[in-house]
Amino acid sequence: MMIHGPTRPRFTSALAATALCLLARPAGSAAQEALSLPPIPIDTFMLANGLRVIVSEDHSTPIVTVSVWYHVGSAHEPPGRSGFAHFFEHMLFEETENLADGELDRLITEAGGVMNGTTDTDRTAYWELLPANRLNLSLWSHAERMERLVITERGFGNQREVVKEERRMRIENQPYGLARLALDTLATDYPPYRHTTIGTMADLDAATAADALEFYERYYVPNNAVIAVVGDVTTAHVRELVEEYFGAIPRGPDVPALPPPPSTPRTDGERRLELDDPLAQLPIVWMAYNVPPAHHPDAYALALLASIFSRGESSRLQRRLVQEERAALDVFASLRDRLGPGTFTFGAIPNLGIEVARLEELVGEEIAEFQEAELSERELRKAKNHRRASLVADRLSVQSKGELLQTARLHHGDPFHVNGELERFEAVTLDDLRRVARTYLTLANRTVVIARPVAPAGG
Amino acid sequence: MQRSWCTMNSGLVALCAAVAALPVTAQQGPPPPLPMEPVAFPDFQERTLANGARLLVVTQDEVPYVTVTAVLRGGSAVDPEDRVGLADFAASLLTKGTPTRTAEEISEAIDFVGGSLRASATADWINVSLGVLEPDLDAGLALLADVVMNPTFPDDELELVRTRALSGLEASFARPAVLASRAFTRAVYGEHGYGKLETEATLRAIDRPSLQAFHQRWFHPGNTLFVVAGSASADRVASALESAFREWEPGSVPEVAYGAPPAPRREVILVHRPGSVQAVVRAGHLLARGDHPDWTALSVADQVVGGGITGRLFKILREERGWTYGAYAQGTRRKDLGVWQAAVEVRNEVAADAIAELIVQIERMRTELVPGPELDVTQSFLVGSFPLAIETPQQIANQVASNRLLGLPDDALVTYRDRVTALDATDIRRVASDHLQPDRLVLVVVGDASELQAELTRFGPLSVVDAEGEPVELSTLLPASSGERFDASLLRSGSYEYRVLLDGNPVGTMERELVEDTAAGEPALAYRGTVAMAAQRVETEVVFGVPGFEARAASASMAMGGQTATMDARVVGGRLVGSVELPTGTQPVDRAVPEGTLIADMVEVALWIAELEEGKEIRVPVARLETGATEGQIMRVTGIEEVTVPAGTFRAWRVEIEGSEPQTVWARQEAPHVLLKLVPAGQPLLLELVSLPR
Repeated sequence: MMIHGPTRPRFTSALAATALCLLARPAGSAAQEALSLPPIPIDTFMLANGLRVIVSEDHSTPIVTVSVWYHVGSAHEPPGRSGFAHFFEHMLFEETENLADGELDRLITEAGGVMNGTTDTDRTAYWELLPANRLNLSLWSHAERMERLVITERGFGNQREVVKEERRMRIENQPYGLARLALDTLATDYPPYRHTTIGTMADLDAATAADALEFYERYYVPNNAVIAVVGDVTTAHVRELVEEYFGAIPRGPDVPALPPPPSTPRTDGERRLELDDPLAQLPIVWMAYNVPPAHHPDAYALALLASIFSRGESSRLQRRLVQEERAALDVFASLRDRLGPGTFTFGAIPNLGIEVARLEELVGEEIAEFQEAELSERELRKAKNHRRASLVADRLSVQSKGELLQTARLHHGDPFHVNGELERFEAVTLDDLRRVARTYLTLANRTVVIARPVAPAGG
Repeated sequence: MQRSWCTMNSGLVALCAAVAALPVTAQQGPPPPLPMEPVAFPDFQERTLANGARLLVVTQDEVPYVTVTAVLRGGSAVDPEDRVGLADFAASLLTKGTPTRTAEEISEAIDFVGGSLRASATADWINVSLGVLEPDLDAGLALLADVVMNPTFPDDELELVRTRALSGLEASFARPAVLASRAFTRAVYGEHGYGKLETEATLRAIDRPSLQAFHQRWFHPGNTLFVVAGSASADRVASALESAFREWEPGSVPEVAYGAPPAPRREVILVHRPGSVQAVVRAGHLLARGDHPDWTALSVADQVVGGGITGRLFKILREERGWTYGAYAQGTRRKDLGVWQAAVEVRNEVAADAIAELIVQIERMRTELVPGPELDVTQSFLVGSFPLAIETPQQIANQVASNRLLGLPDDALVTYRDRVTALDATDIRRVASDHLQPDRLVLVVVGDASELQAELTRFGPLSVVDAEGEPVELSTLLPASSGERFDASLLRSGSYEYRVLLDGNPVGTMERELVEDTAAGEPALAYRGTVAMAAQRVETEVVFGVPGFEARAASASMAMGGQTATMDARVVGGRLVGSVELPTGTQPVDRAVPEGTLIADMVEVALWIAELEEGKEIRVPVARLETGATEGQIMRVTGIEEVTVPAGTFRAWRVEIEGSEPQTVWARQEAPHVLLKLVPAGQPLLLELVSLPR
């Protein structure tokens, strides 16, 4: 049953409304709409072995970022091997045939560079940011790691301990850590997403070095990898180096496709879970709704919807829950877009003395209000302006550009998709917003997880 | 999009064919660096505005985005003691109302253009930051000027900030990193301006008059540096700022007095966090003021021991031992006294080992020269990563601003890379020796005290506190005593001689003596011991009441190699009170000793008068003399054995003792169950009875 709340006027007085119109400076907005977003220059090529390369030249600073995304993630893990893709990510920083243990770290650091890796459900990403004249070192090292990794029992055992420490640090020793994992697994109907990227301790203990070798040979192949290079380089030079280092690496087996995603929204009814959290001081409530994959046309409206709900202090949830009701310490709405089905999640932490049920009620009211009341063009315009400013700010750094290009390639199969984002957001209408709110933010599609602190023991 | 990899031109086709024909060479090392143009520090402009405010502008027009930050002196270091949090509140409330704009109007106006307007306070500065697309710069500056010059601090907004701050403070206590940071800050900075910590009481005391006074005091153009970065030119910005801030009155600003920190000393602070599966460790001490000339060399030393993935701590604690996900250390340079801090999170079982290793690594930096190749990597990184730090105009502006705000010489930025390159291993060892001092190390560990406490006492005087810093009665955390009643009236005066064997060879003697103690006028016994071994002599005495076996007093002295340490404490009103004198100074002892707590050697005598039977397990809380900290000791009777010692052959109870000093003892089966033989776990030592009292 939907919660109906009273319709409230958005502005408290005509005077305030007038003042706002003056402040909004329509001339300024018009100027902003005319602001053109320079396209990100993109070149692409592919080797015969299936390796895809994206290059974007940016000669403003003599630096370069190189990222290699292998299209394998926790979604590809078989039962009993949760956490394996992330565990393997750690292995890729260990020794290779031509790099002793620790030598990669030393070389990149000595070159004045920084590096890291991250694992998600659908891809594992490795990147460096370095002075432009060390492009060759970065590409050479990625070829080494793709083809000549050495997996030792000692290295494997050591990284197992490090990964278990990471789980303890990020999840088990933090308030809300385990509850957040529970939310992810409870909400989804897509089996590859039903376990977490960090994995369980039992599965981590059960993994063997032989598993690692098999994983490497199956997924760490050029036809499953995309390289993005952004910075003070030329496409010609990148191509020369990629051919030199990767050209002789043989194509690997085809990577089996994951099962097709289930349709969204769910219609089977609300799911709820309440947990005790001995490490929390305040409770937290999350409300997650299942939404389509990132490439679905509704993604744009959903992104703007999240912005309208919680971006900035003038957003609906901030206004109502934080300022007017003084019920929430913090509240947010965010869209997680992935290759498979995503989630649109609300989260809120109450102020002292407020019941978490009250926050659930308030968020429910705000959702109903959005679904039923008249919407304002101004609110939509505000969300689009925010999106525009973000897209502009993204172009300041080579790393954020690299991330955008890789994400576009993963989600849309096409890095050129990054140019044209502004127009796609601009095309969203009030009808689209209302439609996605009514379609996806339904009780039947909702998963609620509440984590409560444990009452202090006597004495 | 598929493209053939050899379509570019005929020359390249030939090259491609040649490359394809080459055999795969497995033994191929990393390629050398390509040539590179020298990179100069980018341009920036500085001006003083008509109203006295300073302006710094970095202009780069690739992207039509501009940030403008007003930086003012006057952060939490100047919060009144009873209103810590004032600077934070003032910052939060700047954007919550002026005479012409309500909080809603301000947020709507900035949010509508997709910009940001935020204010925050650090220890030394207030920062008010605007971020907008270039066409909205004038509108943004109008907002910025209004909130900087004219905040009204409305009461209802103050209450909302307060409510959230109180909730936020409560929530933050759930995070071990916050607990560690608070305990560490309190311990190293104390009453110095940088030691200010918000509490519920101080947050509740903040009121509108104090906010207005804060604003009056610090918000003047002469106290302000505008840091501008992005696509606007210096002329445009200067003129726009002068226009927006034309009403700003000049005013004078007081000096900041920081106060003095506590005297540095080694100590261990264990913040009890029940249920923690990890120990969060923060170890460090204060460093010099921000304008000290050694900072550059110190940052190189930091990078060697604790910087990123090639730092010694990361390599050893994570890559070699697998004890942690990350271990780092760095010095923080501040306007006044800086601070050095190492940080690591480890599982409980290896917490003490990790700390011991940390101390070893600090000592190495002080006494050893960093090997050439390792120092080269570090210097190469600091010099070579320079282009990464100047990518965006915001990065560049922040670097220049930091330099100006710390009051450093103009050329410090430009000469940084040369100065790093000029350092050698002797310089690094010298700064480490001068500035990194293990005997002043404050070790904060956030974790489950009942698991960690016994292991950590070896690092220094230890106190166990809760999240707010209040002492925790350790005995409330320990396994309950098994409630054994000991009847001291079973004891008789007498002396017992033992000998100590190492690998079967006699190396020393021990004498134990029970003597009536009438000092306090009540029946009591003193159990005295003297151990003489090689260059070490230890004398101990514990006094307990008869028949109740309640602890009364304890003392000890140890002499080794010309150095002596003495301890003396008395039980008064349920607490063990006294002092420990070490060569480095005197430390007080003051700990709760709940009923049933045994002190040090009393636990030996307890076995003599306990009722023993096979399979029995006796748990007793034992207060250790060196620190007064209490641990649970478990004695397990495993069976009867025949034992031969110089004093004769006896039937004896074999007892396994668990605790911080695990050992196996054989106690005479006949009561009192005097100690016949003792073997400490894992050591080739043996203690055996030579003679009984006549």
